[in-house]
Amino acid sequence: MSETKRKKGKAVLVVGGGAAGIRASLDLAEMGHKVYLCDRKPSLGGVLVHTDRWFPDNHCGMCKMLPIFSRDDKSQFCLRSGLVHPNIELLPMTEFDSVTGEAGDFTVTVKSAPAGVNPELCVGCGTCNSVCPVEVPDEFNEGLSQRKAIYLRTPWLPSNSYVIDWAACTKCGECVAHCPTKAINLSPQGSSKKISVGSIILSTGIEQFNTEAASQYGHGRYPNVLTSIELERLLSQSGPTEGVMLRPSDKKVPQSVAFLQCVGSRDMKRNYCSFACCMYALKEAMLIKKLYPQVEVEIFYMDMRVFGKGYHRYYEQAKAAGIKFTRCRVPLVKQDFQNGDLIITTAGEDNSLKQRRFNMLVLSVGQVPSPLFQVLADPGGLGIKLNQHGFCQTGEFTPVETSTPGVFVCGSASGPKNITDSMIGASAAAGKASHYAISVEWPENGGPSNGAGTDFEIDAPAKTAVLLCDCGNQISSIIDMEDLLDASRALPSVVYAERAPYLCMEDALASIRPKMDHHGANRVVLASCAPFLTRRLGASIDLDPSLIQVVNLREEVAWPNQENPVAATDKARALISMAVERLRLQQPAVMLHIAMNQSALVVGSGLAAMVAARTISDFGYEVHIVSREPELGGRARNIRTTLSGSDVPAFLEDLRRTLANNPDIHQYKGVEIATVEGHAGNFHVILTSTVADPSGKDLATSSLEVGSIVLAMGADELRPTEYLYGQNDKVITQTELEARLNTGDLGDVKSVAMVQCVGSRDEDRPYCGRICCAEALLNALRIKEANPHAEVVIFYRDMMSYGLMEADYKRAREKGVLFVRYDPERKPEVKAEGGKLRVTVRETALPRNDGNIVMEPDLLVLSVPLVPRDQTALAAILGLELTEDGFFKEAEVKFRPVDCVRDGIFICGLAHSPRGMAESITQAQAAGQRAASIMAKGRLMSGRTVSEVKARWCAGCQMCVDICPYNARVMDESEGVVMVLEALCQGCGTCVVSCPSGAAGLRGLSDKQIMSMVDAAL
Amino acid sequence: MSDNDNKEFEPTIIGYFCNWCTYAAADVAGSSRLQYPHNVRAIRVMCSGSVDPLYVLRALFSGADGVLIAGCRPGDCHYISGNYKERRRILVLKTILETLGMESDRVWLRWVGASESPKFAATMNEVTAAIKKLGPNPIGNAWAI
Ligand code: FES
Repeated sequence: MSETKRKKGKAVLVVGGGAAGIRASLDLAEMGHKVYLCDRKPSLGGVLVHTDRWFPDNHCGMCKMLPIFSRDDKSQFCLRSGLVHPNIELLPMTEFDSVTGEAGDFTVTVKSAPAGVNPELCVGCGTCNSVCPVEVPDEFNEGLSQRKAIYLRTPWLPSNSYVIDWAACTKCGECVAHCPTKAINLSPQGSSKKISVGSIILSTGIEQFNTEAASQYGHGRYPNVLTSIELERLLSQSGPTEGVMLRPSDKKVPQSVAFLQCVGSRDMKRNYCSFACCMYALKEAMLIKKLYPQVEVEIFYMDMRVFGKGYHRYYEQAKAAGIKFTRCRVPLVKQDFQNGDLIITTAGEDNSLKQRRFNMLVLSVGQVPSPLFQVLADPGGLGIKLNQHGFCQTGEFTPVETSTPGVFVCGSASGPKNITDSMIGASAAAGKASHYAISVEWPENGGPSNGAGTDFEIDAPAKTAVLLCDCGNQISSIIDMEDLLDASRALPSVVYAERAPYLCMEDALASIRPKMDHHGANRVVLASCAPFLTRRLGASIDLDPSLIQVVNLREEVAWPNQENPVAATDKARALISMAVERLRLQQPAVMLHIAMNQSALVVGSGLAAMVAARTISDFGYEVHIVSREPELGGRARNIRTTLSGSDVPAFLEDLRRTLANNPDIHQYKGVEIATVEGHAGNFHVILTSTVADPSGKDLATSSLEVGSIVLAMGADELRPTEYLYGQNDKVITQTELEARLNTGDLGDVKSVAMVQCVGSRDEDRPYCGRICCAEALLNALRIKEANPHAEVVIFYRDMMSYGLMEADYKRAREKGVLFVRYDPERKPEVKAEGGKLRVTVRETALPRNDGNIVMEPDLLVLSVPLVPRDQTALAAILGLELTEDGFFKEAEVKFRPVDCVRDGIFICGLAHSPRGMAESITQAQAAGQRAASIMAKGRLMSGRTVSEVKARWCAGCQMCVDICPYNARVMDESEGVVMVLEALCQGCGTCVVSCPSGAAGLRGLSDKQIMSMVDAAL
Repeated sequence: MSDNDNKEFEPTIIGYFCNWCTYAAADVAGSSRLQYPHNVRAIRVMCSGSVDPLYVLRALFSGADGVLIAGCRPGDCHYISGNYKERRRILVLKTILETLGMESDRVWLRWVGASESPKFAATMNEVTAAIKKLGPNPIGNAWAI
């Protein structure tokens, strides 16, 4: 649809504030759209806030998805503490109710649960919590600990005020009586409001499988049977045991732990795989092993689905770490009532049944569709179509679109996903939704919420106001406020100091600036609390943020020192004088920006490249597609159909035509990238032709100026060296089989054998090909379709029919395709004898006499992985790194899966990792969105805290250039000194430390400031 | 400082806390009412990797009894690898201090993640107790001469 004809609304609504919802909201907000982000719960983060560490390196990295929209320390903090973005309006405890209108012009009614605690008045003191007489299981800790009926949803106070659990509340009124700010109302009304939006993103996530439906595992009855999320809580420092793994029955560290996979997935009722459980079980198992090396950990599984980037390596690490793996679906769990141990029946080495005993059992519970979908599917409402499993229906080529125009979907709402794929889908959905909403004006100062630009003469001597908050008596009952006032007044640059009972209340906030003006103050220290910093400060004080310092008197001084008022007062005094010193030496915040080239470069010729190019050009930017190949289409040209029966040639043709007919899309074929200079916003790219000019002259070169780069190069199918490939013409690859199926010249084959994992998941290529199992299933089904009597046997290691593909696996079995597992230690043996192939496979699943299956197939089909082309040269040109397997490294595996560490470069498709078609398309849309997004503002803004160079002292040694993780420092060859590209600098300050001559500094927190803070502290 | 002889020595420790993890943990520790010693005066820096060894030396020379640098757990650094860089720097700094005959165990480096408030409190206890044992920083006085 053309941009001009499309209706556009004022904002976008994102339903569901889990990781995907946050990502989509941030992406939209960064493109300049107003976003409403609603969630049923009082806090954001979905299932992620229950977990501390993630695969592959047991890290937390949620904050890495935050854009650097206003890089000063007052708007940046741990995402668990809350999300602040000037363009995002949070609607907590709010549900989608009904909708009218159409794409570009929806009116959505959202319903907010009755808020017993007014967030505007709640100061988070916790008095209510301490007087509340009701105790109920705490859902944050999965019921492993207790909480009150008035409580904090997560321990990260800054994000939320207290909320009331109406189901538990007895309305005794204790909290109302004690609340110092009269914030509580025990009979509030829920409210509903209408918001008008142009598009809607559903990121409603999933529900955790309810284990009551699998009572054979005894969860809920046997205390030592836990779900995987419960285990997360046990392993978390913010959990009920402070991170010590104590089993619930006797609070002892269990010596043996078993994981049961696929609980609530891959069964008769839920004919899909939950996608993420294998990896999170591996991660949890590894965590246990790391914390308690002596504990025996065993995982009982059906297939280890280690299909993603780096997953197989992780699996190998887990094996090396001593985690045991047993392939067996455990039917039943019993408890030894004497000691709480669990007894399970499993298959032993020799396939006999064996009873095994474990101290603790963990169920890897699956994902089930959110019940909200039933509401959303209502034809009177959004009317979105659901698939057979109850997830939102999407198309292979339209992976983030629902059946209702203007309504998009991401995360697990359209089928189980992991974090990485949810992030990818979120960016793609944001891109799509963005077309239906107008951009709001991007503020001149780069868009932080705080006040206007600086309106003081920054060079004028510092005149600081110190405002002390009593916080009712939370602070003043411990700290001697009068003493603090006197001490503050005595500080050199302080012009006035004052106490307030509550600094965060509307009227107190409103009076800050007028009073400052009255006293001629030009900086202010607010000695109050942590939520003040993260929640209230934003919109309230009309002052440049670099002129404000918040001292966290409550959480940092008063609360941890309740028994020690004298020391607390001492400490408070020191902290205030440190803050005053810091402000006294504050340098002006200069927000610099880089002009952007409003065009993008897409490298590659395959499907991902084409989709990325179209996505970017949909935003109206010029695109240059550069590829070595003479033609667009890549591997997709050989694909006729997919497991869901999509018409690939038609899609490809349409894509090709769209690209060819768009005058803003330029194609350069048979060329290569010679050099890339510059940085996000301004890349200078030189191309060389890969074909020599016929006139015998030098290779033709041309150059491009672009703002962002998308890498979408393809990969090639491995040429196998095993199983007589190349020696016997009955041995072919899946792609070759597909070609024969497409042309219909398969011939009269009565029996086909397929071998999976040929050349993958081994020493040479320790990664899973991800798509080969799908290919095998597809081809097997096509053979069966053509000739139902043909015998098809698939020899596999683990069937990677992850997610909704599980249904196809089942379909193949129903159609009579045989699946026989082989052990990688004993690969199938293939011999050619008298014109016949003979395949011998050691059977592992069932005890047999000789244990061997012998087959004489007419065709042996090898499932080989895609191998990345050698990208070492290109990676060096771009200044990027490759993974050990030769794929491009992303900035962060989970939270920034399409970004590169070097700003302005994005990756998708096979350049990133092997992916299925729908997955590649989603990723290409995501990369396209991200690439377009940085161009949307027209310029790249710098933050307030950025590094700088004192040119006089710079010796040009370039230590800082090497150490900067963001390529924000470059050598200015003409001057012989280093200069800073402020828009790329994230203000981490590591360059400052590396500089041997003191030329590097951090504006906003200089050496001088630190030193004088140190002095003030002592 | 007017330390009463019969009063227990209360050290002053300068803390450089990374904004993303350790500072978040400190907030949660406070709001969970965990009680921990008051001796650390925290300076919030964006990343542990921005803590110049000079800042540490300055604190010690100015009379701080100890210095604690705390940041995200290895791999968690918001700026990719600031904490790893810091680890190396502090290791070097400690050897230098030892070479100069100064007490390297006045300098502490710890990783405290955003959800590790108990560890935050434990770290405060641990560091304060250790510095108490070392007694007042002699450099502070020497410098004052
Ligand atoms: S951001 Fe925490 S250590 Fe770098």
